[in-house]
Amino acid sequence: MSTVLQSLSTELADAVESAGRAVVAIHARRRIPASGVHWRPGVIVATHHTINRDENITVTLPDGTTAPVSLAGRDPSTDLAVLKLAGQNLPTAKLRSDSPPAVGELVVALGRPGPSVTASWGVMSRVDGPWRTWQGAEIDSLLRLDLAIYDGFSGGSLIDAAGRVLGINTSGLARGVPVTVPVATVERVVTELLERGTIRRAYLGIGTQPVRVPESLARKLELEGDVALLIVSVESGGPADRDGVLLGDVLLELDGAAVRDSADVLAKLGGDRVGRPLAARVIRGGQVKTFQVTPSERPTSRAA
Amino acid sequence: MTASVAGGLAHELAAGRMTASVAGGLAHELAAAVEQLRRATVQVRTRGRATGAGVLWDAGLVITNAHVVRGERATIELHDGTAAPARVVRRDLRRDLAALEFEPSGAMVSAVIRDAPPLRVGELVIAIGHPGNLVGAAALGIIHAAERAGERRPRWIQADVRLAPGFSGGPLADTAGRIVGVNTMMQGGLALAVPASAVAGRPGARGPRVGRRSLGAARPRAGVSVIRVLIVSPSSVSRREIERAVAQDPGLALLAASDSLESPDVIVLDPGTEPELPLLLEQRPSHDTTPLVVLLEDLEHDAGARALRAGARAVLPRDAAPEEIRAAVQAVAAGLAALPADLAIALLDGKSSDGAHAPLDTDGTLTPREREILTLLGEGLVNREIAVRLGISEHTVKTHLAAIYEKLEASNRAEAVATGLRRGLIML
Repeated sequence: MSTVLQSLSTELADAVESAGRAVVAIHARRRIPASGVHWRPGVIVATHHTINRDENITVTLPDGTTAPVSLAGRDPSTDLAVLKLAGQNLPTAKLRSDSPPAVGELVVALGRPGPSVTASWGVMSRVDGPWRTWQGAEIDSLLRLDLAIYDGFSGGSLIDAAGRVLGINTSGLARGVPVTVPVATVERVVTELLERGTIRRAYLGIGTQPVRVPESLARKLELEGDVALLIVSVESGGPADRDGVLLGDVLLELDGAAVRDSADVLAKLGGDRVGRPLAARVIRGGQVKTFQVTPSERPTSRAA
Repeated sequence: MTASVAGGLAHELAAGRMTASVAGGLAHELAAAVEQLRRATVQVRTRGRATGAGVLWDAGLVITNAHVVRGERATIELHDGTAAPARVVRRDLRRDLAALEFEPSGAMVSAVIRDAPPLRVGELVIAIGHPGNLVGAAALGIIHAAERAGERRPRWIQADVRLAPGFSGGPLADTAGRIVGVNTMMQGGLALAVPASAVAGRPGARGPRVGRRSLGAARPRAGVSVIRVLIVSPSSVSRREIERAVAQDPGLALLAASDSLESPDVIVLDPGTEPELPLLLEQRPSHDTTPLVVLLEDLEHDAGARALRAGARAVLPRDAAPEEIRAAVQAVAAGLAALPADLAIALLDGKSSDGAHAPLDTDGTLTPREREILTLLGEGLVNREIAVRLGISEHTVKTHLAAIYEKLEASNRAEAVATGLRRGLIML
């Protein structure tokens, strides 16, 4: 009698059933609905890349009924969007925030691309520290999955074998490779989107290009690194322009950290940096010069 | 219910202790369940070639896929190695099922069928088949989607389990070894199985009815037409979308590329975001006259006209609606051609379908508009949002994007943004 095997089967189905009660279908694009998770009472988390319109969004609830939702905000950099659902009595997701998933742990990805819940199973293939998405957002930990992804996977929850949510799955952050945005990041983004409607990001208004500092100059100025960032454009009237950054400056350090790549600059431009001066160390006219630049909030609509 | 077994297993897997009690017991029981299922699984050979698997449904009766047995006769080989000649007694092309009869020698195991309870999403399932030269291979997965209470039984059981050709016709079973379905094809990475409940009139019946319509021993008749559709696409996401569009029409049957002994009636070709027409289209042998539906990212620059000249019978934009795709498939199967109306008119006028072409520089410098779009791209906006911001059509955004990709030698958005950042084209 195969008792362990059958118990495992039953427990997985139980986990899917209980966690699936907080997973909804999101109708905000053509053809295939995507998934969303009822995260806090009246608040649904979905993925930004599956929401193609800002209005006229509906969700299909686990009982099969359809309800209208409103978009509270979206954050392309973490590929998350927050929707508000009014007047429904739906259980919220049971979050697992105390212990992070372990490599090799059995996990199930849930989706609801229509009226019924769908599942695929696999294991955590990689668990790592914080990482930065290509649009510059920091995700608290890297969670890579060894499992197959199907239609409507994005926006669904990743659950452990007990049905607790480990994060929101998306194929929109790493070129179609499935990753999970961990609970901590989702919590942070949801709170900020509910408060402000957008995720703030600091902005300097500079374009940069990595350049090699000539060895003689590096020796003369007693520099440590050999690569720095040449300022190739300065937005007129932008924060950097206002604070005296000139075209041709070579940026060595920002806020005490060496910058060798545009990602190093982005790392210093989190939302909490708006209005707080950063020390910029540059080479100008063969001399090292340090001054303050104060990022402002990134303009959201530059061309409209 | 606390997930004790699953929790224990998860813990052990993570800790890498495979000899521990839960994982060890699991491995042992899994092996036993597979061994039991193998006894109810047969090999099916047609004209000497191994063509798939079958389920030993009853003494002297094997159920398999219709596409596994092409002719009227086949040879089956049982688990113990004995072979027996078999005859096709029923065939249901709609369900892709066939029933084979053979002379049973002595007592034999037959499958235990699960009628109830209904399948649950997340439940473990085991598939047995004969991929390649392997006999009695097993695959483990979970139920991906299940019917909802009160809805009519779905056509397919969808399982999250990786199957290869050679699993066709074999059993999909639960952890107690009861048959829940007959594995039939892979579609978009999912295994599709005909529900066991669709195979009616089982015990003792010598002439079972297979499926709703009993077709007798009829050959597939020309004209009784399901249109067989083959989808070719480099992108699995796009392929699944097209598959889903096609699957919604019961008159259309999908052919799995990996498993297609049958030749398609219509090919739907999605060359991806590649602006150039794919080699497949241009190098198609001239005697291959299977009508072709081509989905193009960009219908401008005469791409539509070139696709038609290269043999496409229908040209649609890649974001065509499911109804449009289905209509095009049916049209070309009926010998007609299908085009979006504006493209057809533009072709008659001898013009490209959109007047708003971005000037194409070749020196790699972006126009101010392109820099604007690249910056918006860096903010993570989708085409539609960029279009709204700039007050231009989504189509024009795509045109600009194609130019940006070309100039930056990028093949996707992330690459374009990365290059843009590196060259200082995007403001930080």
